Amino acid sequence: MSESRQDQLTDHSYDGIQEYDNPLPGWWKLLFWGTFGFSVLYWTWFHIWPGQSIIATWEAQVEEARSQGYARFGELKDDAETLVRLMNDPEAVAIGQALFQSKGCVACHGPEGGGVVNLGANFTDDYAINFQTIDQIPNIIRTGVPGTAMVSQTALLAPAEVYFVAAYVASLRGKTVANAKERDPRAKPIEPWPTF
Amino acid sequence: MSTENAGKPDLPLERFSYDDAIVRKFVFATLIWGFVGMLVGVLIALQLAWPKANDFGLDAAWTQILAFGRLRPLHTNAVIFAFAGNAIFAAVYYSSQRLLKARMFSDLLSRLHFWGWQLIIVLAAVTLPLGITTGKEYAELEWPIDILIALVWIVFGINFFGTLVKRREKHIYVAIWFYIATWVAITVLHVFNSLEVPATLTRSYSLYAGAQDAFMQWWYGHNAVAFFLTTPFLGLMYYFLPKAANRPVFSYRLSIIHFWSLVFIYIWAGPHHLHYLAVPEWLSTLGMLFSLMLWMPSWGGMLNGLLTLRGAWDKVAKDPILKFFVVGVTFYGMSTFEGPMLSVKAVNALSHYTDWTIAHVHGGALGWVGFMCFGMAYWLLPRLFQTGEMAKPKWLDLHFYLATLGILVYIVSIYAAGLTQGLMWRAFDDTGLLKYTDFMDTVRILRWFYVIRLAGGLLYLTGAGLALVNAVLTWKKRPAAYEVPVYEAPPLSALEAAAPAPVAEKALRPFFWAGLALAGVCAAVALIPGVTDSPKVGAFLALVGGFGLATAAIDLFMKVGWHRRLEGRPLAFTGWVAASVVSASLFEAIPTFVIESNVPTISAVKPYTPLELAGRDIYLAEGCYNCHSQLVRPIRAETERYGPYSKAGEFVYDHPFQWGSRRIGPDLARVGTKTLTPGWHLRHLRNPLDTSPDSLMPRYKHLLEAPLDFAGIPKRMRAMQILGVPYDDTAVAGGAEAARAQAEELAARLEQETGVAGLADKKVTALIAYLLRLGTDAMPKEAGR
Repeated sequence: MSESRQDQLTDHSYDGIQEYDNPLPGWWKLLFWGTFGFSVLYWTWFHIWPGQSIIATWEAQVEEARSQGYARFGELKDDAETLVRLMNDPEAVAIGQALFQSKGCVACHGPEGGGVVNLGANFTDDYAINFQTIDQIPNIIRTGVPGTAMVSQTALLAPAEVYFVAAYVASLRGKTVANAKERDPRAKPIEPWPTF
Repeated sequence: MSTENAGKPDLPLERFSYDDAIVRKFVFATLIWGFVGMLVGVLIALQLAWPKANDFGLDAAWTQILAFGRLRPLHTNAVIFAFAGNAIFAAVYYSSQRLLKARMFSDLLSRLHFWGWQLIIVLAAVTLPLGITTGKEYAELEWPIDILIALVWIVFGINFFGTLVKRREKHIYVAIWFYIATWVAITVLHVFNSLEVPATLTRSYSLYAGAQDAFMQWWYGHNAVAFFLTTPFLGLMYYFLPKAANRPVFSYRLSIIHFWSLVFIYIWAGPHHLHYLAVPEWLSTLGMLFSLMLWMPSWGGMLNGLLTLRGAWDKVAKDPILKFFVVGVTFYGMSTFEGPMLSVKAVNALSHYTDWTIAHVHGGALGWVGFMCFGMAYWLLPRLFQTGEMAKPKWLDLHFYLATLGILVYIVSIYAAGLTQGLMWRAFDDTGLLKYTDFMDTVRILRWFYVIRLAGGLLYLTGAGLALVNAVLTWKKRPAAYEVPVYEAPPLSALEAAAPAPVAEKALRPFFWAGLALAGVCAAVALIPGVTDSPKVGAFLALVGGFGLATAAIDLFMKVGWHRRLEGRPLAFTGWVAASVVSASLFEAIPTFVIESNVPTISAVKPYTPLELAGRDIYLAEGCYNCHSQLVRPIRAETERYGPYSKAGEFVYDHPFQWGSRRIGPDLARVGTKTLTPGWHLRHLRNPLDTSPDSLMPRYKHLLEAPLDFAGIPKRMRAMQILGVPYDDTAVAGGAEAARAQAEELAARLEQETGVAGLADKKVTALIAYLLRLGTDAMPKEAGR
C-alpha cells in the first residue's frame, strides 16, 4: 500500500479510527467559491436588473404566442360574427375538422358530421335540437347536453379550439354526406346562418 | 480488557462496558420496518401500473384503506422514520458509546426510546390508512402522535447528551458532530412545522396557511432530508466506513469545512421546492442559490468517504460490506449533484410535479440511505450476535447485486417517465396550442415505465427480504449468553487535568479580514435610512453580507487549533450548531411572515362554507394531494391548460396548504371554474373510468355510502376561527345547519343529473362542494355555469 507523501496523520484516534490532515482538493475549493460568486451574479441579474421576474417572463411568452398562434384569426368570442368569420376561413375550418376527427366527435356524429342513429345529431341538415343560432354552438361543446351522451368537451379542447370545432360544425350545414341521419322528430328548423 | 492509556500510565482508570442489547433491537427494527415500508412501496408502485390494485375489487371498507392516497404517506413515513430512523438510532447507540468511551447515559431511557419509537411507528401504520392525517407531506401524523414524537425525541436527546457529558474521550469525533446536528435540527423542524390547532383528537389544522404554510412545510421537508437522511448517515459513514476498511479518514480539515458548511447552508435550501409557486420570488431564488452552494459541501462528505478507501480498493472488490458503502456514497454524490441541478429554476420548471422528483428521492433513499443501512447492518450483526460472520455470507453479494440492479431499473425508468410527461405537458403545436390537451394522453404513455419501475422495486425488496432472513438466521446462531467485554479508560476530569497546553494558533489569514470587512460594509449600507425599503436591495445586501460572513467563518474554522478546542466542549459545539440552524431559519422565515407585500390580499377570496370545509377534510383524509396539485404556475403551458396562474392571496384560508408535489392526475387549483358539472364529479369519483378512460385514480364509491359528520363541523370551524379565519360565532354555531342546507341543494342537483338519490348526508356531496369551489373566488366562472 503506497501512501501519497501528503498523507500526514493527525494525533486523533477514536475507537481505533485515525484521521489524515490532508488539504482540501484545489478543484473542490474552486467550485465551492465559484458557487458563491455565481449566486451573487445570478441575484443581480434576476432581482436587481429590471424585467427578469417570473411574471414578466410569462407575460412576454403569452404575448409572443398570441402574436404567432391563433391570434391571426382575431378575437374569439361567443358571437355570430366570430363563428361566421371562422366558418368562411378554410384554414380555420381545416383546424376544426382535424380536431373534430382527432378528439372523438366522430364517434357519435359520424366521420363527416352526418350524425349516427340513436347517438349524435346530424349537422348537415337545416334542423337542430339544442341550438337555434350559430353563436350557441361553442357553449354546447363546453357544457354538453345534460341527460345525453354529449358531455362537456373542455377536458379535450382548449378554450380557443372550441371555436374552431364550432366553426367546422357550422360549415357542415348544407353538405351532402354519405349515411346522413334522418331528421330527428324533436329537431326544429333553424334560420340560415347570418352574413356579415 | 483493552486499555487505550499508553503514555499516561499514572491516570486513574474506570471500568465500563457497552450496551449492545439496545443496538440489537434497533438493527432488527431497521430490517423489519425496512421490509414493510418497501413492501408498501411495491404495492403503491403496482397501483400505478395496474390501478385495480387500489381495491382488488374488495368492498368499500377495504378500498378506502388500500387506495394510493392512503398508502403513499404510509410508505414514505415507514421508509423515512421507521427504516432510516431505526438505522440512525442503531448507528448512534453503537458508535457513540465507543467513540465516547462511555455506556449510554441511561439504559432505561434507551429502552423508553426504542419502545416509544416503535409505538409511534405502529400508530402511524394504523392511523395513516384510516385517513387520519394532517395533509402535510412527510409530516402527516396527527397531533397526539406529534407530541409523542417530541417526547421520545427528547428522551433520545437526554440519553445522547447525557452520554456526551459522561464521556471518557476529551474530543468528539466527526460522527458525533453529525449526530449533534441531527438532534438539534430535527427538534427545531418538528416543533415548528407541527404547530397546529386541534379540532378533534384525530384532526388538527396547521397554524400557518397557504404560502406561509408552504414555506414552513418545505423548510421542514427539505431539512428532514438534510438532517434525518443526510447528517446522521454521514455520521454513520464516518464511523462504519473507516472501521470496515480499516483505513484512516482522508481529511480532518475536509470534515470540519463540509460539516459546518452543510449545517449552515442546508437550512436555507427548502424554498427550492417552491419555484414558480405562489411565494415571493426572492424566497425561491434564495432556495436555489443556497442549493447550488450546497453542492461542494455535500461532495466533501462523498470525497471523505471515497478517498478514505484509497489504497483499499482491493478490499472493496472482496468485501460486500465495503461494496454497499462505496455504492451508497456514490449515490450520495450523484443525488447531491442532481439536487442542486433540480433546484435551478429553469430545470425545475420541467421537473417539478413529474416523476423526475420521485427518481431523485429514490436515488437518495434506495441508493444512499438504503445501502448505508444494509452495509452497517451486515457489519454489525455478526458482532452484535457474536457469530463471527453472517449466517449466509454468500447472500451478501447476491443482495448487493439485486439491490444495485433494482435501483438502476427503478430510477432509469422513472427518469424517463418524468422527462416524457414533463415534455408532453409543455409541448405546443404549430398553431401555438397545447399539443396534448387531454391530460390522459400524458398518463397513458407512462404505463410501461411504471411496470418497469415495479420490477426494479421488486428486485430491491427481494434484497431487503434476504437481509431480514439472513439476520434472523444469524440471530439463531447467537451464543447462549453474550460475552460482555469490559473496558478501562481514565475519566474525563483526569484527561483534562493531564491535557497538554494548547498549541499556538496560526495567525488569522487575509480571507478572514476581507470577509468580515465585506459583511461590515453591507451592514453599514443597510443601516443607511431608506436603503432596505426595497426587499430586493435588502436581500442582495444580506446575500453579499452572508457571503462575507461565511468567508470569515470558514477561515476561522480552518484554523484547526480553534476548532479542536471546540471539539473538546460538546455543549458549546451544540450551541454553535443550534445558532447556525436557527439564525438561517429566521433569516427566511421572518420576512416571509412579516412583510405583508409577500402575500397580497385578494378581497374576493372568502372562507370556505361549512360544507366545503368538511369536503376539504375529506380531500385531506383521502390523500388527494398525493396525486393532485393545487397550484397553477406562471408558465404558459400551465396557464393554457389550467387557467390563470395561482396567487398567494387565494390561499389565505388554506390550513394546511394543498399545493402538492406531484401531478399523477391534473392540477385542481381551478377545477371549480371548469365546466365540469356536479354530476360529472359524482360519476368520476364513483368510478373514474366512466369519465376518464385509462385513469389511474382509485374508485371512491365508498364516499357515496359513508355518512358525513355534520355534528362535527362546528368544532372544525371553531378551530379555524382560532387560526384567524373570519367565521363569526353565529356562523360557527349554525355550521351544521348551513352545511345541511347546502348539501341538500347540491344533492338535488346530483339526483337530477345522475339519478342517484339520497346523497345529501353523504361524504361525496361535501367533497364535490369543495371541488366546485376550488379556484373560483379569484376569477369568474367560465360561461355556462
